[in-house]
Amino acid sequence: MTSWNKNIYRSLLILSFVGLNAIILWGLAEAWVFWNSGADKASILHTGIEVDDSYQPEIEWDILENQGRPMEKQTLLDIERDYIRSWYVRSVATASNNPHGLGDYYTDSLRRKLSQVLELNKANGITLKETTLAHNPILEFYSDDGTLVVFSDNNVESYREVWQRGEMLHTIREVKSYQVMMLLEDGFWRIRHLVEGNHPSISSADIPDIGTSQIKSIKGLNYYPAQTPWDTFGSGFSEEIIKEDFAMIRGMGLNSIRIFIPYEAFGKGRVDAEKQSKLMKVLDLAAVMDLKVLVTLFDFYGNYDLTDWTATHRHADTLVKLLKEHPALLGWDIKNEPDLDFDSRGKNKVLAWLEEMICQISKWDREHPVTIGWSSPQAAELLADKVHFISFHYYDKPNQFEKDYLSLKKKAGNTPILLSEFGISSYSGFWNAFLGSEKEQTAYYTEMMSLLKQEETPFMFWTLYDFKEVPIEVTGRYPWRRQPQKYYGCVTVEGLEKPSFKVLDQSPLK
Amino acid sequence: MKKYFYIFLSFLILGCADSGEEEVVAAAVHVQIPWKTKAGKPITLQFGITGEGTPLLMVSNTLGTTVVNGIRSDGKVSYPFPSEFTRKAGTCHWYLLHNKEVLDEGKIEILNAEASIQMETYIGPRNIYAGPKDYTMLVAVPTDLHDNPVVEGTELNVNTQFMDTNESFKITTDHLIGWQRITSREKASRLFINTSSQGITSRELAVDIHPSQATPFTVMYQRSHAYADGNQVITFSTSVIRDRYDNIVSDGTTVIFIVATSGGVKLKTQGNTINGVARAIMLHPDRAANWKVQGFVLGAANSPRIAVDFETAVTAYEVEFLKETNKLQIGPVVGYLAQQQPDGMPVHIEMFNNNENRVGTITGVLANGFCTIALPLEYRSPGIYRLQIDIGGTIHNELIEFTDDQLE
Repeated sequence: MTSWNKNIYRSLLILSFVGLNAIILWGLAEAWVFWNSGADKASILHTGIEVDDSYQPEIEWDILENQGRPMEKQTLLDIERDYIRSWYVRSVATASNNPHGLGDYYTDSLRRKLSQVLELNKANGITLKETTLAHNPILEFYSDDGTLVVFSDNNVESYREVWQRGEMLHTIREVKSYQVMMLLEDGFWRIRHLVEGNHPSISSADIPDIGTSQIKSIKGLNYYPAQTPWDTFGSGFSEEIIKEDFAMIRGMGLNSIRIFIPYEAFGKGRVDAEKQSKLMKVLDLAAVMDLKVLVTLFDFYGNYDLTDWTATHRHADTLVKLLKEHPALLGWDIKNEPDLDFDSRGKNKVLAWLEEMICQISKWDREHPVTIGWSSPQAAELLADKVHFISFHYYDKPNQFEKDYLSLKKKAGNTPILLSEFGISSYSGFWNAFLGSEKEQTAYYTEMMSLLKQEETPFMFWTLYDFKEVPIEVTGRYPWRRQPQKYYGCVTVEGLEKPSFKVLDQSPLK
Repeated sequence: MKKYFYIFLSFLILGCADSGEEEVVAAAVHVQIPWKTKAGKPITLQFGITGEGTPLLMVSNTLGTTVVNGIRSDGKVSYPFPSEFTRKAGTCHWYLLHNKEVLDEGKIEILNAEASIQMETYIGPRNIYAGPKDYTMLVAVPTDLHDNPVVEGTELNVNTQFMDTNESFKITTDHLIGWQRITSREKASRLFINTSSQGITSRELAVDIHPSQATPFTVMYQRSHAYADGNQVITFSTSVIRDRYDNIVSDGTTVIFIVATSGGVKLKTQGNTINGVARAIMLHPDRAANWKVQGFVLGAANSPRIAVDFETAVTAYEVEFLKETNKLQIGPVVGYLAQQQPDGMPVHIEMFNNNENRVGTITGVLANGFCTIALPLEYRSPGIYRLQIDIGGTIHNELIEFTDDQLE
């Protein structure tokens, strides 16, 4: 009994010792942290709010013939930066009804008025999600001492969602013109007056009439190089390999390919110059082989949030303006299978982003058609009246195809339809209970090709090569998804033709 | 069991009834819809609404967007605008919303409030030069009572006051503002400016007009004597420097005096003007010299050159060669008043052999009016040498002889 007591005492003693030490150490640590924290020294500089890089609306200045002092390049950049930020802090403020940051970009009198509206909305539970998409400022006046500027910002495209207590009341797409007066105060250009002007507004929402005749004759495939699937423009980029592949594709009697531009790898809103030149080379090589290229943008993108719109617009803007004159360009596929993001991101959010993107791309490129690569014929009915041609993917049984296709065709009316992905894996192994085979694949393609011929459906099959590796981002970690994805090709990793190659070969020499 | 069934049924019915009441609006008829009003006046939209439910009115202007709840009475629904939206001039858009549908929409042009203009004025640059080339700019931003910029074409009076002259002119607003360039005057003084419209005036604005660039001037000098004693200072000064409009240049204008000596060296000193006159001082040379002095206001003006001559300060002196110690004793060296020359005055000796080739240079300084120098004998061969001694430009020649004994 005594030894029990002794042990209890002992352990209590040890525990209290450890505990006391822990408390002392913790106390010292807290004191250390306390004495080492405080106002950030950089706050003295009053550098203003860092604007998130995702807000990059299109802005085009017209500075001809301003009255007053000639505009300096650097000042114009400063004005532009602060003006754009004023819209940004305002959209942040209206989304939260918190006037934080407005003081940096609006003078006192205007800030007070904006805050009153925020107070009102806060009381009524109203929040706004808004973004502007394009600004076209014309410089009207710049004072001789360089501290006051007046400009009109014409045809400001904006998108706004009005929410009341978690319920969306309305969305508005507007084009408005403003007169803006800004003052240079302690290093910031602040808005003093913002007045809606009466300049005639041009709606940019009209979709130009774009020829889609060549869609009907598409015979093609989805292209990734054998060694660098889902990473065409990465470090493994090789002109030689692409050239050979394109020659093979042409040799198969195909006339088109579909390629993918990963959004983040291309530098998001500020597109990497090296990637641009690689992309240009791919299109040049395609032009040499007389192949048309359907460029699929925003691969691996999945945000769609209003705050991210303008960055995606700048991304598309750069690429569209880069390629729109290219003879090999077939058209723009905005996003691969965006309907798969409906569950995680919300259907309305994704559709609103897509719809705006169609408008924007059509604005920049008035010649090439725009489509969306829906994952199923059912989803392809969405926005069917907005795209220039419908494209969908089909991985179901061939015997369902005719029904699904005809149903879509009925709804599509005169809009051409492209089957931009279909195929089957020849994988035979543990993960599909050894059910697939190259024979199955051949049979599938034989059936599909005859159906497509019968319906005169333009197509692009998935895909040319089998792949050694498939990135986790594409299929997820599950091996029963990942393994089959490696065997969708009609040519093996080693470059040997699989039996399905003969079926897919469209060349007259066959 | 039956009880539960009835409860369930009643819930179902209630549920249905509820959804049946789900606000149906058949039509919205305009009752009172203004399309033009003045800032600050209350705005109320009124619709006659048939059917159940009360639509919401979304109101939007450049300041923001809000939603107004309707007040229903006698089949009419009124929407009073919040004052934040009635005070802002410009276009105010409204949308009548019900179940995410837009029943009706329109816009109201809100005009500026009448009278009571508030004048906000800016002027810059605040400091300009005299003369017709430079100017300042006045920008007036008149607003109404609610801080809305006045309509384009509003007339503003600008009054200026300069010395004893009052002027006034009119400008009109365009692109939110009215502006005018105001050219400088010929006199350096302060220009006062005021803007007014409809009886409301701005605060006083002032612009300083500074003298323009300096015009050519002359340089003078002042010194206590003309001797090159290396000890006194000479003071250079300028005439009153003025600009072309006869304004004395701003105090603090730097004038640089460049002295070209007869030896081809350039010396520099500088001073800043006070009441148009700049002064700068320089030490006398330590030997006779002819100086040429010129003053410069950099980038603007300069003076003609003037000559300043210095006479030698040292009179003839004695030199003795002490053979035993090989020392040369110079002195006493005295000046124009027979005063001892200051300590530290340089003594420069050049040694020539009998072929008149210079074979050495020796330097020393005066101490108590004398200079004693040990002649270096290394590498010298016996013979007669001439020593040319120079103190303050006064030259003395001394012949000495080195014998074999001395050189051993």
